Amino acid sequence: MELRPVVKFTEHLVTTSKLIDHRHPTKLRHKAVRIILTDGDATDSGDDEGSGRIFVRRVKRHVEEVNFKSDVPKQRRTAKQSEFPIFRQDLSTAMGDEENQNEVKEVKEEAGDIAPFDPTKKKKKKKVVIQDPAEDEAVDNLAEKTESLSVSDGPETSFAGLKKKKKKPVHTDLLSDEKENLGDDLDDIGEDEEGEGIVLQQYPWEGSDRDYEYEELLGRVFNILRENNPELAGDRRRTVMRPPQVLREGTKKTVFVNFMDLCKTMHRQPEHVMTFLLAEMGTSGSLDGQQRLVVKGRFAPKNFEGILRRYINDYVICNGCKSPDTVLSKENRLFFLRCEKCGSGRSVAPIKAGFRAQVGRRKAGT
Amino acid sequence: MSDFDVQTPTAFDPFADANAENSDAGSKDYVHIRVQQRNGRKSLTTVQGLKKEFSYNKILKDLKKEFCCNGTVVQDPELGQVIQLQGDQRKNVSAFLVQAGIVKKEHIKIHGF
Repeated sequence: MELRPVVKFTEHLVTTSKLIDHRHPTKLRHKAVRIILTDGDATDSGDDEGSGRIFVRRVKRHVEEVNFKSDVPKQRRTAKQSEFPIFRQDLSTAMGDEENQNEVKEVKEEAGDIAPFDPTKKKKKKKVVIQDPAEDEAVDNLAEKTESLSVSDGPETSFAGLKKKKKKPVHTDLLSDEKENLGDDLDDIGEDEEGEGIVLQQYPWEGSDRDYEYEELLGRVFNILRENNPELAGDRRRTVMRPPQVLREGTKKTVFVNFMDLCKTMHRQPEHVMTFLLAEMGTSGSLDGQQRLVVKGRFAPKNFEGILRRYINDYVICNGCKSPDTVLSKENRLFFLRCEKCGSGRSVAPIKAGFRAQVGRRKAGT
Repeated sequence: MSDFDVQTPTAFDPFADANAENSDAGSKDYVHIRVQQRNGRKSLTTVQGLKKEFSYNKILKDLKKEFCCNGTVVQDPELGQVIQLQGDQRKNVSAFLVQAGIVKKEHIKIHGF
């Protein structure tokens, strides 16, 4: 068929047979007559009216089929489906049935039109949920409206033209009023938003003679400060660490790829970071040729991230000013952390591996 | 002089931490709960640094019963006795120890990923 699957298409076939006398050959050229009426806006009886569920466009084709049978029992029973299109063509042209022709054409048109309208389907759904889905037409109109507002005017016009054929004029008039109202509303909203955008630039106390509030003034000061010399505004530029990239080497080893990178961003010796990582994870590991950290065991990037977070808290961040701009130095067997920003220093605990249980096979000798 | 005036009113006592820790149990008295990976998805939890006065075996017995896992007390030459439990029981152990009043929450350090 030529209809797209977006549309729910149903066909109702009513077949009647009529006996004709074969001894008086009439001018009948056809053995069967089909009267086809395609309803583009069919509704399922009461189904989508009240419930407001997913809106499916339904197209119903009502087919009245009249078979003319002669007395002679040998009768050509047509295979309906295969011959259908040809038949219909014949019928509509031969019979000169204006309505039928129109209908058929319209269906074709609509089939062409419906497909590009797919995006509106979703909108229709939404609208149905919000709006009281009293009438299909109303919903349709709303959908059209939203479509025209949000996307463009092009498809709307063509669609509307097609719509108007079917709709009762009273309805369209009423609804067009509604349409306009809705459009106005939407326009208003748009304007309001723009207006707010402008208002943001000014100060809230302007135009009124009330007292300034502390928060407002503070905000003003900071805005000015940020505009003129941003480095004084106290906006702490955050040092962003990239997430650890982790590969699996075989099944039992994990490779921490950007280990060196992260060490550099933290300004720490890779050896120190490595000992901390290994102690925390309770495994062994080493740096490989490309300066990646190879760790025994299976670890997710998340695990590394957690441990690195702890490392930064313990060994990188300055306690006084929370700045990561610090130097770790070793003075007679004790590690000291000195902040480059505020100059404060503190001692940090040495890394201790702690207890490591015997895991895996013991040597045969012991 | 003005500097001094500014600094004195703060209620910050620089020795508060040290005093508290010294009075309590000494700054080194953390209980470390670690996890170790074994083969496959198995793991091992070790609890190290519990006070010597506690009976490790009794604690172990309750831990085993509570978490339905096996475990043992191993004697380490440097660290003394260490409790080992099967599986990743870090959260369980720390909750248990705090709830039983064996250790304070501030003195538990959970290691591992």
